[in-house]
Amino acid sequence: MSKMRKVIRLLPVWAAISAVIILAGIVLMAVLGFNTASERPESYVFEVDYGIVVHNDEKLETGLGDICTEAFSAKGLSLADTVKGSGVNTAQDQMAVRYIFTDTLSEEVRTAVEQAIDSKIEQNEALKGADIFTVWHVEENVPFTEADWRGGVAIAVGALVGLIYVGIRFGLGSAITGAVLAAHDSLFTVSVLAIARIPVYASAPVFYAAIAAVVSVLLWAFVCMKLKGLKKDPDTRSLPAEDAVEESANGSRKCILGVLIALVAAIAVLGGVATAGVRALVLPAFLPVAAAAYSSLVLGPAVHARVKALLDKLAYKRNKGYAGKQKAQPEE
Amino acid sequence: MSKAKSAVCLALMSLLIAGLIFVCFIPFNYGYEGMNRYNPIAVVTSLDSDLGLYYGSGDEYSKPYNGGGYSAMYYPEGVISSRQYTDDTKDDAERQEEYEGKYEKVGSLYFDTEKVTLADKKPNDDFTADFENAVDMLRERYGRLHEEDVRIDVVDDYTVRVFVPRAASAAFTQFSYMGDFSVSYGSDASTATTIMPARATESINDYVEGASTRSANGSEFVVIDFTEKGREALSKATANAAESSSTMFFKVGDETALSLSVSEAIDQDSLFITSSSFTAETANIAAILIDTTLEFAPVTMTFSVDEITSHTARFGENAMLFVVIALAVLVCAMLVFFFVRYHLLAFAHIYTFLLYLCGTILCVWAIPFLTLSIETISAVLITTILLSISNVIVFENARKDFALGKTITSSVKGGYKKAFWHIFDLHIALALVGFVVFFIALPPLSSFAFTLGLTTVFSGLGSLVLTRFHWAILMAYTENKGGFCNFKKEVADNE
Repeated sequence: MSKMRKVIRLLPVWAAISAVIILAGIVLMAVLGFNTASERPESYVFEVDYGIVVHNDEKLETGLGDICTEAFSAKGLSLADTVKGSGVNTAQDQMAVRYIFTDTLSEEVRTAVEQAIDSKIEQNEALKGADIFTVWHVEENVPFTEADWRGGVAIAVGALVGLIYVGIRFGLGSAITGAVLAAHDSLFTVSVLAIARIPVYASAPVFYAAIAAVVSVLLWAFVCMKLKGLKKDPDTRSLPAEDAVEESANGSRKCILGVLIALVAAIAVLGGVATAGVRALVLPAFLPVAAAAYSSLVLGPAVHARVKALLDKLAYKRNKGYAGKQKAQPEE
Repeated sequence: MSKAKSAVCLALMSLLIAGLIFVCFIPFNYGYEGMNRYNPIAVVTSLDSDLGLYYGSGDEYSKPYNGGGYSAMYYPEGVISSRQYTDDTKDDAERQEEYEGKYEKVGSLYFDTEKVTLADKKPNDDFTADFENAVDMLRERYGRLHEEDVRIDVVDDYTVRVFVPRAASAAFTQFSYMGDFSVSYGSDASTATTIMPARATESINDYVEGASTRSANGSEFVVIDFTEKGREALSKATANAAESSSTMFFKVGDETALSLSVSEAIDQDSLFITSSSFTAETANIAAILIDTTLEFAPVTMTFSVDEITSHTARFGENAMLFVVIALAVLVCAMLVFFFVRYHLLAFAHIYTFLLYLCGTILCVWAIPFLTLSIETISAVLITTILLSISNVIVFENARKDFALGKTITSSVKGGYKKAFWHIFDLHIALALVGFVVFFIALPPLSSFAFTLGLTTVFSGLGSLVLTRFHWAILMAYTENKGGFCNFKKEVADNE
């Protein structure tokens, strides 16, 4: 028995693995949501405001930054991000640097850090008398939910429309399997995100789900093309469902692997070269590609063998007793 | 195709591509002592607020949008920051004394005890509930802008910080207006008579249905739709407008959101209001302001907008530069693959790819709702892979035919004949997914989807039309056509 035949026959195993992961993911999504740490849902922010005297002197500005970072290190605080801004309109020359911490910081620690920084600024001859103000803020992000649910609906409708076209061109069975795979890949991706608690931006899960659906439709179309090729060929037209699916899965593997290798390379290079913020958005995109790889190489053929067998059986029953010439039968 | 025709076509195509690359990617100085600078399309294309890129023209203000955005703080009435408290009382003993009696510190904020009742160092429940409603209102208003990367944070429990990319910065002040929506009519806003709602027992929703925006003849309009009762009130109030013109004020709380000069009687269901200062964004902001005020329970709290600050891009000032380096590495890898596998035929793919890339850049630059972001770049990457794989499918089909002993012309024809519907179906299915998702989703997903749909169309045209054309014109010169494409005849090899 060939490897692909074994894969096709192990459908219950693949279905069980996917079902467990997706169910666990849905439960975790409902209870805990995603780990949106990259979005900083709750944070402590140490804000340093300073005026033109400090801003126009690079040494003073760097010195002030050093005082702050040294004080954070001395207290063992790990900095999540630093955001610099400049005042607009009324305070043109006012600058603000916001040091952002995502770990929970007690009021005692915050007060101690602020006092340490204020006293160092006071002691620094160059900064003495400069317009510098420090303050701690506690911030909580207010999430937007409309983009998430509309994104989910959009992916479902988009994939469905794409697969209706697949259905028209390659038959109902291909569309049904394609719909199952697109739904599976999107859900599988967001489920793994939820289970593994991978830190993501708030809008990212729906983006990864969209990538999963797009790659899934793309890869499944390769298998459909091979299937159609087999159906056109008089030698392979009457192959049993399992044989036809095996043949088409093997025949389309090169194209599928080519696309997958290119996608993995693109994500690896982009994630490897880019800045930390871009990396946080790009690297989790391995997940939808992995989900689409699993579904197109393993789950897809297994599901489609069953779907095709069922539809072939129905078609046979429907055509039973028909003595006329088959529509697609070529002239001998 | 004859050699002469091919030479002309190749020269024209090369010139077109060189011109497009020049326009899209090459900055240069010109004029007296190079004082003027040409910024290519790739530089003037808007980045989203996450990606920064500092290159291009000299001074900061003439640079194109380099990512980042603006933030503003919303302070409820009676609440000031510790910075303001310190600034107000510095070197002013009298005011220090006044503030000490008036304000109480809660966290890093100071509360005016005459305006906000405090219990156990916390504002009372009414204030807290009203603040929560105000936050919901702000979330709804900023959410309806459908802008990428808008962010709202509740700071120190009782103030709000809003971040918006550049395009939405006009919203800060308008969206701070809270209170009931009303329509008044008179010579100035303070003395105008309220015509909707006319009585305290009535609701504004009895008169006004909602607000929206419309564009016509290059002008932007805010459209306010009235109920039958609203139309009657409007008609009654403006009955004498032909004799003495006056102004209609559309207010949210005490602030005027819109005004309309009236010089004739109005008897219609909808009012189209425009102003010379209206842009699509400002009209949209005004419509959202009115619509949300009509839909939501009124918030009695008023806000002051302060500390408007400009920020650099979230992913770093040079984030885009590193993305460009990564893309260059990927393009090099693609070229190496095509040259190794198909020798000089790789040029056919390169020509198509360059046209596809320039077309994409021009579209992202020209289409107002698109920006260069990780989402749009991801879509371009996916369709670049699609373009490459489509060309590979055709090239491999032709290689097989050539190996069987067919002529190169016949192999190319056969290659395209076998692959045409495969490539066509792939592109149609993907473009459909992209465009359908675009029509339903919100940014940033909609940007990804639209770019995916658009570049899939480019990829399809590129692989089915342009690559074939490039193949024909490039191959006309060579005698050894198999060697040009790195194709080998199996029969010849065996012999």
